[in-house]
Amino acid sequence: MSRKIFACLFLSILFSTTLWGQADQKPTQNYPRQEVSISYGDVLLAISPIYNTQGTSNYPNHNWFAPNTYKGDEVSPGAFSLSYMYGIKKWLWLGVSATYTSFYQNVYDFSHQKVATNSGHKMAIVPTIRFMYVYKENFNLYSAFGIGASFGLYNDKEMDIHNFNMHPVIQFTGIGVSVGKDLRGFAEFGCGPRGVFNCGVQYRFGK
Amino acid sequence: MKKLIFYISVIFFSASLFTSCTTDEGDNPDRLTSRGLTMADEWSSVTDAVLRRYADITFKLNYYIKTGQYNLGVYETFMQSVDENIWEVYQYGEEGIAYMINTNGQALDSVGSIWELTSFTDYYNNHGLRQDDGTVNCIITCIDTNSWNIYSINNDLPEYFFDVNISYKSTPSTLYVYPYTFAGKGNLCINDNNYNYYYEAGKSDHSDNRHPGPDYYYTYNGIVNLSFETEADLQKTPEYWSKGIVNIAVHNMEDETSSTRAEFLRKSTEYVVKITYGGVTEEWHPFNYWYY
Repeated sequence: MSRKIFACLFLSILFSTTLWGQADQKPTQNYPRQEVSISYGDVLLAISPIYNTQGTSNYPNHNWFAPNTYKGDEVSPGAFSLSYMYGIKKWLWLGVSATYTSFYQNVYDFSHQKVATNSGHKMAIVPTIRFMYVYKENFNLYSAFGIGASFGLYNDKEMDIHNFNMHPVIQFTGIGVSVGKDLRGFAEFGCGPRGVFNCGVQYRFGK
Repeated sequence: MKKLIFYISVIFFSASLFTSCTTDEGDNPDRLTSRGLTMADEWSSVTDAVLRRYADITFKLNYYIKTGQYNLGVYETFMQSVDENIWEVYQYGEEGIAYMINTNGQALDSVGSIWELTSFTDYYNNHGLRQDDGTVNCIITCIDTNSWNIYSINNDLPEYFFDVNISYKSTPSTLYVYPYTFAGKGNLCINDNNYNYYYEAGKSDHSDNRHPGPDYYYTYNGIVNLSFETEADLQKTPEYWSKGIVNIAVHNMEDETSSTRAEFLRKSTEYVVKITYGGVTEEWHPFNYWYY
């Protein structure tokens, strides 16, 4: 498992280095070669570090010596992504995406008073390749695919437990659309750490 | 149109910053006593195991002595030894004598009779009652008409004992005749169940061989003692406990304790158990419950 993760990290660093190197070169084509974006996505398919550590609650409760508490719903504000892409060609872009997701779960005592908030934090680093089907100045249609690593931190305030875990992740964007000029809006459908649906703004530069 | 899509994206992004969604359901706040319920289930299971292992065989022998017939299937073989009051019991699939029962020349249903049972083959599941020499002793005393006291103590670890009175409407040919009443107390050793494998495994104590666990081939977990005392006489039916109150406490090797009170009721045809745990009382329907 850790070998895969380190392989992903290595690829990620390799990609980034290559891309920044290419960014310094003089472009020969008259289109923006670089893009940064921020986006927000859902967490429908996300597995939180809290779940990773505790599992689900739907089992008989034999933990007789645990504190007399119960856990509330686990909630997440969503997945926030920051990415950088570089256009090798008009139809082929390479880059890397970082997605941060947080999860929170309140813990209550038997008189329903909150006694702690457990939290989980995930950061997914995913080198990505993007294929543009339609490349018009104001309208793009594309798909993308990436393999990377996810790093999770679990913080149990109630029991004072901290866990760190890593696992490989895949980001698949089935279809993405972006509109605008240099400053653009975009939306994507797919699956992976960025969410089933995510949208945001991107800025293109470096003609 | 393009500007519209752009602004919709920006608005959606901004709005989402202030919202959150549920990613996993929490525990059911109306089911806080589930731990107490599992404790009551465990108590029911271990007391039944002790009665089945050390009391049932005496009723079967009593029936055999009276009728010359085995009761419901031949799992045991009774053989009278040289001393006619002493019976050797062999069990199917086991080598050697499983039990030796001294009837003291009395019928089990004769008030005042005392039968002494020694069990030899309880390597596992003896709930702390197995002594250093590998035996478990149990004394069955007829204390009243159709009422018996079942008493066992580990003389090497006297903290483990079982002292219960059971009563029937007539002399049973096996323990599994219903209903019967149950009253008494005890302290038994159990191994915590597999659900706590990761939690309890670190607490396993290999140094004390007299405890029945942990044996990683048999159970994964650490040692937990379960003590109980009935507050009001219980009644057992073929399905479940139909009335009575029992207080149960568990205690592990790290000196952590937990306790519960189980009150059994029968409302119309439905069995109900009221569990008090952590200061909260909830009703459970034993044939219809889900723990979370």
